[in-house]
Amino acid sequence: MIASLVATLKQEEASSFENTLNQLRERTEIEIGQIYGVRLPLTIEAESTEELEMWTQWVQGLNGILHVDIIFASFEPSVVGE
Amino acid sequence: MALPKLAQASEKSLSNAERRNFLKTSAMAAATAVAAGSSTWSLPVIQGSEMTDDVKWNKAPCRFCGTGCHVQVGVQDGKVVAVAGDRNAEVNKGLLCVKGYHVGSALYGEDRLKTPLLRRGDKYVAIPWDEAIGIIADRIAAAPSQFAFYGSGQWTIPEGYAALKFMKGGLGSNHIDPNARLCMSSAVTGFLATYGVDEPAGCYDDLDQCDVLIMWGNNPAEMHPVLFSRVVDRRSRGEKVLLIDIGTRRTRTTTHCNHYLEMKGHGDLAIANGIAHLLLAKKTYSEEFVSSFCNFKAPDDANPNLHGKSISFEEYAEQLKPYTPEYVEELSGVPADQIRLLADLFGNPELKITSLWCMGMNQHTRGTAINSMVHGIHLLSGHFGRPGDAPTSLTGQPSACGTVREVGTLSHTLPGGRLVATPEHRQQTEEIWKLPPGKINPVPGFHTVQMWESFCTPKAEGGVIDTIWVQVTNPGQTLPNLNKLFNKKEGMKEKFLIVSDVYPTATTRLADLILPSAMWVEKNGMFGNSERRTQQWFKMVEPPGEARDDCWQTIAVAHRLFEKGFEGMKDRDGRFLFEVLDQESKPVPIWNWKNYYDINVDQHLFEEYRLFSRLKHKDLAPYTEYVKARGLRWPVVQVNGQWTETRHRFVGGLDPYVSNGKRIQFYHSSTKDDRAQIWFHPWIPPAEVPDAEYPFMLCTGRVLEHWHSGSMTRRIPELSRAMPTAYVEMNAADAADAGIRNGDQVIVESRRGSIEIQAWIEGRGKPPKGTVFVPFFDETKMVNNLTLDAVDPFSKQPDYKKSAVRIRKV
Repeated sequence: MIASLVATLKQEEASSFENTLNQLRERTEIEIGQIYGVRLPLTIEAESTEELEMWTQWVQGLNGILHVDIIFASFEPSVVGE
Repeated sequence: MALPKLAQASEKSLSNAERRNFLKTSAMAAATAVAAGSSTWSLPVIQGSEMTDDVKWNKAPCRFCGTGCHVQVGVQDGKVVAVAGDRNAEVNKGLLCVKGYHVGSALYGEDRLKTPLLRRGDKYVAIPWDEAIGIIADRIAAAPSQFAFYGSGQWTIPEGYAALKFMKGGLGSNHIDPNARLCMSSAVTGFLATYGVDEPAGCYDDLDQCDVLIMWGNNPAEMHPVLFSRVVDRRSRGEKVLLIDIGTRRTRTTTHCNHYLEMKGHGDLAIANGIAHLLLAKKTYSEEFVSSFCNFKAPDDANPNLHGKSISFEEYAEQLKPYTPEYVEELSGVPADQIRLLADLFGNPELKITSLWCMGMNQHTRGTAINSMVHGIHLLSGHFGRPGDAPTSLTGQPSACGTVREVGTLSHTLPGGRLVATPEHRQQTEEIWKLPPGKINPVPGFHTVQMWESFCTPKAEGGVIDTIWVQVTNPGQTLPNLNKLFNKKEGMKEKFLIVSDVYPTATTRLADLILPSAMWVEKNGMFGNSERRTQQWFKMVEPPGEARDDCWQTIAVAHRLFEKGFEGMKDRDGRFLFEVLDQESKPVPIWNWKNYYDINVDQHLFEEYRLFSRLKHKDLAPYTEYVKARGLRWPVVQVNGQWTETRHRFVGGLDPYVSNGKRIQFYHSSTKDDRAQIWFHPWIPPAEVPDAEYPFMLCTGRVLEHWHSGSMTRRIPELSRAMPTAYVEMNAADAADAGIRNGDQVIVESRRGSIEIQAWIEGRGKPPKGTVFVPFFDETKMVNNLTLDAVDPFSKQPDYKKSAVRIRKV
């Protein structure tokens, strides 16, 4: 499963952006994109919905993260109605 | 921003590795577009490819919740191929939630219903539309008083208006009710009891201006995520907004809140009284606001009614005396200090406070009371009337306000806030509909729970309703206590269930006649969202097979009755009740499907309905104004020749109906003195509470990925895979005590039924000890087999949030 999120970084911790980004970079499951102000696009690759949920919560739980918006839960095609 | 090149490539030619890379790049592109604040991007939500300049874009409101986000719909070769957030829409400013991005895919599930189906024995056979229309007309003609129409807050405004006119004008029967009875009728009665007129005074702009946002039993981070993002965005820009979550379990909303007040079921009644108690005790209420604009009310136990009895300020204060913070803590479970925190906030006139609520306060056997009490706290403290100071209820369906509350598709209402029980209102309606005097029945019809109970009761035992026509909803999954109110229909040959829908559902399972419907942009439509905003869209693609508009289905049956000589379908001049004339004043045969789109039937019905809107200051603009706009908030009045919407009602300078020179005027006051009513209601326990036999309190609700019963979202692969099945959310200590581990199958049972379901411990939501949560989107896990059908005495809305259950490992 592949999901994409936008993480909003805490304004008051702008100076520690790099620390948060480094924590994210350490996870092979997570790829980060180009940051826009306090908004950071990122993707998560996971084997299951539970794992996806776990990584989403992990991102949400980082000190420098204020909020996480899920943009797409998965792009995998499948048979409709399966 | 143009689509990334990879997203334009054909998916079919990619290897697995390339495919994963493609998907990842597309996912990152989507997130980047949102992060960059661009709203001109589009996403390949249907085929994921082949986007060209030939795509034609048009506006529509999203099909799902009551927020009312606008989307841009991309159509190519007769198919919706892309959906993007509409940057010109004030509601969502280009943003969409995960459901909204995928809304176009809801049209293309492989099992769309495409032809009328009639049950013969244990099989369905395809029949022509003409035969299906005839079957319905014959059943109605044989016993019109035994027929009921069950509709929805997903009906478009013209669909609901046509169904209402069909029943109350055509059949002289009030047995019509919508599923919105199950989701927001307590909000209606709360507004009526307080202001004498329904729907919020404020609007979403309050979210941009409040200093404090209090969510009462509300989880907007999942249920109204675009609205919630407006507040979170403010914080990310450095603005100070205090967020407070008053709830029965930790949710994604809680994560963002400064304070979480965990309460027991019905704790909200005590909390509201505790705040009022402290405002009076500390003299921090607004004496000026109260003395100028408010009266006091209490329930009239000798003669229970929505407007209760008047009481003095002193009597109100006396009733509140017991509700000290410590007593409220005992009743609600919320620590006394947190009650003081809330009272201090309300007692601070410098702050602007917005309250938000949805099902937590509405699905409540004291729903009318708690709705009135939260309005009351705002009035008592003077936190009303300034932008940002507002008590605001949200709705769960796209047109619960527009089609149910404004059109008046409830069993006791008529369009424009009219009531069937009021002679003047019936006369006004008969005049607009050109009916003979006395045609409209003065007795309210069956509300939802009564309607289905009657349908599921044998005629010999008094079950008078023998035929129900369901449009645009799924009661076989969403009614409470399904074993009593729906499943008993199975095998009752004297009862006949007609279901118009787009997919097979839990309701079609027991249907005798299934009609395939067009949905969303396969037809013209209008919705009304939670902030009084009326929205319009045009048909963009053809429905599949023989699927047809619900509104056409209603008009076709009406005309068949007219052809049979059924008097009710004639106006007082003998003309067809739904007659539409062309420019040469000749009737257009809109009852023939091939002619239905010869003229804009929506526009015709809306212009007639619009006449009612002025009768209670809910003025609507001409149809053509909505074509140009991304919705307009009523009352919409002409100012210097321009149709102008209203953001805040009852406020001088902001509401055109407030008299000159008045700061606040509640011009529909039930006490006829321009004042709102501040209510006292006592705390009482829930209708069912856990005991030794059923020790857990069950709460039901929704999840981010699915909408309502999941009949659309479970057919969208991306959403279905993200949340494939329902679960029971358990407290870790409770689970450990019962030897239940994450993922174990468990039986959840109440006094009414049972389900087998997977346990999720410390999952997305975190219920406190002694409580569990199950979402209702999954038709393979029918949680409404368990729920209670006890209703609020005034709104008749059931409580889906508090049922006692027990749990055991399979």
